[in-house]
Amino acid sequence: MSYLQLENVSKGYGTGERRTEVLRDMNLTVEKGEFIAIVGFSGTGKTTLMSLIAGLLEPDTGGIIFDGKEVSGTSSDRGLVFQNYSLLPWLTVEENVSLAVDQLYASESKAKRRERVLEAVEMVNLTPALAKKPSELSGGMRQRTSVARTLSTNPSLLLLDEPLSALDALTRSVIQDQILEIREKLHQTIILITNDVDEGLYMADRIIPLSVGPNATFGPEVVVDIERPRDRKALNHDERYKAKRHQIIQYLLGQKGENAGQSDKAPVSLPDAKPQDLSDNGWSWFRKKQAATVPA
Amino acid sequence: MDIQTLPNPTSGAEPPKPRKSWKASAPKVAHTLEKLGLGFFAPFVLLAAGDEPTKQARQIFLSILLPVLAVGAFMAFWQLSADKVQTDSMKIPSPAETWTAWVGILDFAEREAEKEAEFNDRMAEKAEVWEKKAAEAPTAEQKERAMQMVERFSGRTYVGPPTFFDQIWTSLFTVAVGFAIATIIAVPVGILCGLSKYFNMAVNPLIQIFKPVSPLAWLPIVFVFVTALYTPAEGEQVFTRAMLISAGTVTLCSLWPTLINTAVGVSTIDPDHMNVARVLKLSWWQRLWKIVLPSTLPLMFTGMRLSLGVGWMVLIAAEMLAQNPGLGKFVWDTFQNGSTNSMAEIVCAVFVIGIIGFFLDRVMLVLQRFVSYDDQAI
Repeated sequence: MSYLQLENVSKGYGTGERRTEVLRDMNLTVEKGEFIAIVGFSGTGKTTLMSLIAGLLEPDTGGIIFDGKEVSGTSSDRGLVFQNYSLLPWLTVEENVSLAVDQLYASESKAKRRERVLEAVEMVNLTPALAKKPSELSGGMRQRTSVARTLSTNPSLLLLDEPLSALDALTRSVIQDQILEIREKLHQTIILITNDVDEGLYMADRIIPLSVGPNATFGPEVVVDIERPRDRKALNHDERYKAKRHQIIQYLLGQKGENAGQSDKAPVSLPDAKPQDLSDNGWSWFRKKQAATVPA
Repeated sequence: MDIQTLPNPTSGAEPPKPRKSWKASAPKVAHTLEKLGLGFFAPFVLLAAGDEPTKQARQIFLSILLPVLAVGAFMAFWQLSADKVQTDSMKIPSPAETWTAWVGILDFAEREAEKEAEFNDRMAEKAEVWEKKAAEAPTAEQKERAMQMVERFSGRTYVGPPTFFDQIWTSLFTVAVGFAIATIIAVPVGILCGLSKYFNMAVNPLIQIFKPVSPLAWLPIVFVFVTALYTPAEGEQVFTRAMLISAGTVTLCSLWPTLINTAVGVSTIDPDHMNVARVLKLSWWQRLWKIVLPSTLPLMFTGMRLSLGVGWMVLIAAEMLAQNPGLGKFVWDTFQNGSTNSMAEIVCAVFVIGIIGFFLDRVMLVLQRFVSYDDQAI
């Protein structure tokens, strides 16, 4: 029996005529310790899929079996890293991570819990920023805090929902390596959702493309059997890598073409709005009046 | 390319640490001042530290010059209207007359304070005399009677007419009681409204209908409630009926901004934060204390700030009608009195009411800024 199994999972929103099927007949098996990347365009239901596995949503049909049990509700075994960090802005890095630790390890001593928090923060190299609030952190640091919060609960399955899509390329590669390091140490099973094919190829064991929604489903998977640790620079010249990259991109682009005319919604016309002059120095009300009276 | 290092004159030894100047912390001080609602002083601090002197000087010049111009224009208008606007018995007082009336109010308060001190001295003296008598009393009966006299004199308090400052304190206390009750009711109800769609549906019509009601309409209803349900103990000085009626009216009028803002704050919590709560499996209470309340606090305090402003406005009207010995009663009594300097005293009261209202708003603004995590309060 595999570690995580999705069987004919479908999910849609709304009822009646306005119902949209987001995901249809999703089948997936993940073995323990595997690193899976799911790539797809934005708006194809990737986050819905993650919420289903995390237990935030219930599938309409089909079922998800994790570690021999059907998924229902959230669990600390399945740690979710949110796309937009979702840190609580009024708490410091330490308090944000403590929130998770104090909840899950409520029976342990205070010192032990603090140790867990520090350990998780250390794992993402954020110890110097322990006392900082999210507003004082860069995007990369926020996402690392979010990763630390998830890691602090020791999940055996790590669900990464486009964790790096809002970061610049440089920060992104740093955190990619950090995630791989953590995986080396803790051997979690990881499902990464991304819109970056290269990210998937660099990090994952298998890449599964998602077709364009509505009614999105998994496309043919690509096994990335390039040995680890992978060298970012060398990878670009690796023929196997190039072939796999081509294969996935061809599939995704084909999807885009196939579905281009599928939308049944009428085209929306954009409002004819002129940009507003916000350079207000206290006299704009006066100037505006002037501008109105003087023909251009 | 190598980075060139500066030649170190004291090579070998530790390089001398630059002395930390207070000037380095000037921007921080300026920021704190702004946070405390004293942003007016920030350019002065920055100017003293030599931080962009021309910019700061310009800022100071504008922030002093513009208000001075506006106040000057207002004073000129006031002076002009003072000479023109008259009835048979009253006229708009000039700024000078108003100032004289203000000095008169201060003098009266000072005289009253002197009288009270004198009275207390006299009573203490008398009590002392009787104490001596009690010590020397030959029989137990006489001693007891003497002790009774001691008690009588030492327990006496001065009963004079309330001074202007007594009235200010009465008003402040009344508004504080009304506002406290309003907050105690509005916050939990607001949270319930925000948390439960059904509760909100149920009470929304009541909120919408009662919200715009004028304090003058509430007052008779509060009057009946207080008079029917509350009988003050004999000699009760603080929680009189008039005070409770005024405070109750303040409560009913200042309830709504806090209630509505709290409800909006709770119902617009970032859904991602609620997802975090679900992933972490927080219990209902933990969600309330760790997610809902902290993220609602900024909006809640915005509501409370509005509430206190409304409460202070309503209070003056309520005190006039309920005859609570505060600023409202002062204005009404002085108006009814109709002596030559009555109007000047009323104008003094108008300024004092305005300044206190401004001060209360500042206090709430500072509180609001300290609880808001995004520093965006305006």
